[in-house]
Parts: sequence; C-alpha cells; structure tokens
Amino acid sequence: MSESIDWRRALVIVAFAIAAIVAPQVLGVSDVNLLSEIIYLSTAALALALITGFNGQISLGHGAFVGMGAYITMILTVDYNVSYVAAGLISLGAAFVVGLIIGLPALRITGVYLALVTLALATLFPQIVNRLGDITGGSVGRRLVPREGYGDWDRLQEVGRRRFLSTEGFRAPDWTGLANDQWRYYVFLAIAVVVFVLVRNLTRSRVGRGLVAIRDNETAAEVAGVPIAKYKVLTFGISAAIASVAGWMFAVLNNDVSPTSFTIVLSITLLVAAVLGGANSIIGPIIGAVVIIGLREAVPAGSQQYTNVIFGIALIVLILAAPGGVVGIYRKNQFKRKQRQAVRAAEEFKAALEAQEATVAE
Amino acid sequence: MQLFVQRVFDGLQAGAIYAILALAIVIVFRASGMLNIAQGEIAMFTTFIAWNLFDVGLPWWASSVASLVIGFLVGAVLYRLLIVRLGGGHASPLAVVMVTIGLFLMLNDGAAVIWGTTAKPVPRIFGTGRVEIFGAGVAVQVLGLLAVLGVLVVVFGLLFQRTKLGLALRAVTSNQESAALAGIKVTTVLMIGWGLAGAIGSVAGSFTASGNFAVDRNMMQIVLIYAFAAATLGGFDSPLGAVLGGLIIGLVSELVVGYVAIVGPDLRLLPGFALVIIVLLVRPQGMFGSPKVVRA
Repeated sequence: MSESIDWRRALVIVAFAIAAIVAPQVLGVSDVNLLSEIIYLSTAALALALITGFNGQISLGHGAFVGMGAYITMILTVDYNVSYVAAGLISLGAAFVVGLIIGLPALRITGVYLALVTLALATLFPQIVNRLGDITGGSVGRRLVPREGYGDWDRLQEVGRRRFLSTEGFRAPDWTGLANDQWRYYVFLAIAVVVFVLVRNLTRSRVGRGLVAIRDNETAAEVAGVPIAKYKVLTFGISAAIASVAGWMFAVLNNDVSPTSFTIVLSITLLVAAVLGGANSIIGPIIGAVVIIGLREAVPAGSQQYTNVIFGIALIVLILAAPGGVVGIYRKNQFKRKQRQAVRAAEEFKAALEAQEATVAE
Repeated sequence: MQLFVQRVFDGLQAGAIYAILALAIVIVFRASGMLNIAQGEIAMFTTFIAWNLFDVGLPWWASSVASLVIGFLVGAVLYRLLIVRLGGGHASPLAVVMVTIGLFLMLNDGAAVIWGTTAKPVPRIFGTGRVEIFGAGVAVQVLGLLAVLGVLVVVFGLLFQRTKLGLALRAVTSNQESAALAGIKVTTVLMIGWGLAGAIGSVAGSFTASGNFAVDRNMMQIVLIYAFAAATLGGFDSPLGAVLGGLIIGLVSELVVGYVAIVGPDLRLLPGFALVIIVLLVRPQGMFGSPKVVRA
C-alpha cells in the first residue's frame, strides 16, 4: 500500500502548484505582494521548524538572523553595488557562520535556557543596529536607496539616486514581460520551493533522523551513535542561513530595512508560525504563515489591538488541545482512518477465512 | 566620586526591579519547573488594575499594596485555568513556552483593549525626596525600593524555610509524585506558588511604573529580559541567586554603559548578557543554582 502513489495527495500538490503559478496573473499588485509576504514568512518559519520542531532546540532569536540577512542585503546592494544574487549568497554564508558560532554555546545551554539566550539575541539585535548607525541608518533604518559618497557614486549620479530602485533595483528583466511585483513573486516562489525541498530531503535523510533522535532523547541518540554536537551546531547554522534567505526576501520586498522590523516580536511571530502549523512538518510553517498574515488582513485597521488577543487565545487553545499544530491534527486523523481501514480489512479477512473453513467443514 | 555613587545607585535601582521580577520567575520555576515568559505581562496587567484603584481615589502606595493581592489572584487563576492542563512537571518545554507566549500576547494587547494605548500617569511610591550620600543626591524612592527588596527576600526566605507551606512548596519542587504520595495537594500548592509569583511580580510592576511616572503596557518587556538574565546568572532554582543576579546585572549595565565609551547607551543590554553567557559556559546552572543531574 505505502509504495503506491498517493493520488489524492499528488492531486492536491498539483492543484496548489498551478494556483501558485497562475495567482499573480489574476491578482492585483497588493495581493501579489501579500502572497510574496506569505512566502517570506513561510521561509523564515521553516528555519524555526527545522531547529525547534525537528531538532528540539527552542529559539526565540531567529528574528535576528532574518534581520541580518535583510541588513547585509541592503548594505551590499546599496553601498557597494553588489548584485542581488551575490548579496543573497553572501548574507546566507554570513548567517551560516554566525549561526554556527551561536550554536556553539547552545551545546551547553539547552531547553529553556537556550530559549532565554536566543531571546537575548533577539533583543540585542536592534541595539547593535543602532550602535552601527553609520552604516545601518540607526533607528530610522534605510530605504534601499544609496546615500551620498557610497559605492559606485558616479554611476549612481548618472542614474539618479531616487530612481535607483526602478532602474537598477530589483526589477523584472525585459524578456520575461512581467511586472516587477510578479517577477519578485516568482523569484521568491522558486527560492522557497528549492529551500523547502532541500529541508524536506534533509529531514528524511540519515542526518534528519539523527536530528529527531536528538530531540526525542539526547542520551539515547548519543548511545546510538548520533554525533550530537556536530548535528546540533550544524542545524543552528543551516537554520540561520534559511532565516537569512527570508531576510533577503524581506529587504527585496519592502525596499526598506529598519530595526523596528526585527524586534523580539518577529522572533515570537516566527516561532508561533512554526508551532501553529505544526513544527515537526514541512508544510506546517506555510499553514502558520497563511494563518498569521490572513488574520492580520482580516482584522479591520481600527481594531488591530484585538489581533494578538485572538492570537494568544488561539495559541493557548491549540497547544492545550493539539500540541502538534494543524498538521498534527491532520496526521492524527489520517492515523485513525488508516487504523479503521486496517481493522475493517482484518475483519473482512477473518470473515472470509471463517466462510472458507465452513465450506471445508461441509 | 559623586558621579560614581550616582551611577551605583542608578544601577541598584534598575537592578532591584530586575531582582524582584527574577524572584517571581524563580518561584514559578522552582515550584513547577516552568519558565513563565508572561510573568512581566502579568505584572503589567496587575499594575493597570492597581491604576484603576488609584484612579478612583486611592493613594498610589495603597494601590500598589492592593496590587499584591490582585497579582496573587491573577497568578493563581491563570495556573488553575490554563497551566495545570499542561500536565505538571512532565510538560514539554516547547508547550510551556508557547502557552506563556500566548498569554504574553493576550495580556499585552488585552491591556490595549481594556485601558487603551496611552500611558497612565502615576506618582512615585515614596515621593520625590532626595537624600545626600557621598555628595550624590539619591532619591528616597531608590532607598525605599531597596528596602522593599530586602523585606521580600526575608519574608520569602522565612516562608520557604520556616512554614508548612514552604515545606510543601519545596517538596513539590523536589519530586511531585513523592509529594503527592505524602499527602500534599500538589495542584493547590502549585497554584499558591504561581499566586505568590504574581504578587511579587506586581511589586516589580508598581515600581517600574512609578520609576517611569506612568503605567504603560510595554513597560515590562525589557525588565523581563533583564530579569531572565538575572535568574540565569544567579541560577534558576535559587531565589537568593536571582536577587544577587538582578543587582549585579543592574550595576554592571549601568557602570559599563557609563564608563566604557565603545558600549555606550545604545548597547545597554550587552554587558549583562555577556556576563550571563560567560557564567553559563563555566557554570551552566548559574552562580548559585544546583547542577541538574540527568538520568537516561
């Protein structure tokens, strides 16, 4: 049974893929950007699902890695005329290294202590940004428009600083025939698909089983030969790198990077997104991101203060009722369905056997 | 010298508030093995209720005393309604973190729904008088705060070490099953533990508000971060460690920010956290914590 293709599942995936590709062609600019934002949040939440859901290291500090990705992208593209692709790769590498470094103390600091240390990282990040105000723009932040005296200034003068974004910024190449927002959406989608598939493969590999084993029982995992220290630090690095990819998306999407976007609130939102959908699953983060952005859009502008009240209550109820998140509920139902199927099959078999015995007896 | 004394007292003022909230966090952690991320918001919520009393005509100090009772009730009710459902000492750390984050969000925006987003002005608890010490003018408020901290330490020390309730709390901390078998009503004891933490937290809330001259719904977040740092520094299961940790973090932050130009006011959080991480790497259980022995 399990080897055969699950047609229902395949159908759902194909339907989603078609919807994801067609959507920007039929939706307006603001809706396309909303979808891009969902992709950004899903990717960031995936980073958290990997480290918290699969590896069991609770991080309340991933907003800092997202912020790092966004800031590096902004500074490189604006001040040093680095291309978006190169800036993305550099920020990915930098976040990976910083993630490894932060992951080292995480070997000795575990559980709630780790949550606290990462919480400190999240609170410290905006302060570091303020301290480095010369290049980051301080508490006001910076738009992705170059300042005087930076980068290839002559070229920028030629193009015009204010027009930098629309001429040299992140825009659709002519051959695509797409509007900038559509192009951005497709680029995000392609990156996200790659990241999600890579993480999915990682979690199903030998390494992935090692990560889950560490989460479930560190001592048992160690006895079974899982290199705990190596895996834990590596997970931190990979997860930070994924978060920085999301940060790249943030910078490209918003064209504006300021410390208020990367406070502790973002770190909490990411954890909530991962857990809400189901932290030990790959599509959980997507569900979480859709719910979070959907809720924000659904609440009228004048009564935003109710958002987190609803959210907090929903979170508490969810954790108390279904700790596995939305995906957890689905898996439980699937399990029960399969259980029922198995019981039914066994009963039918038994009935057939008895009928056969009866005929033999006659 | 005058500037130094001034900075020391500034540091102690901040540190004492961290110490008080850290004490609340440690009591919850000791009693139930849980880390309450919403502890600061519970204090903020209680302080807003105290503001309502102040608003109808009670003096601010009396409202602050009343908020002890309110804090106890809020903490106890939250435990009885929500936390108890997480399954005691066997709750997964992630579930506890998530539920307390849920509480955090709910209380923070709940305060905006109930009291609006504008801060509510309040006076100082001990008035605005000053005393001269080594040439520096030290606010009476600071001395009062330090005295309150001292009283809290003594009262809770006695409570834990000299009363039946304290014995029950320590028994539950040490082993919930054995405590239950010995006839201790674990749920009730834990409810009281959460209530006590709520009451202590309300003191931190009142003093933070009165230090800022206003009750604000976001006032406790930074205090919470420092309080966590204090509890981590001192050791999560040591009330005395939490108090000393709070004072040390307050002092170190103030002095480093004051005297080391590179750090400056922008990186106010850095010195405290650097200290915490160094201590954690050398002694993962904190300065006064007892090491955790894990049995597979």
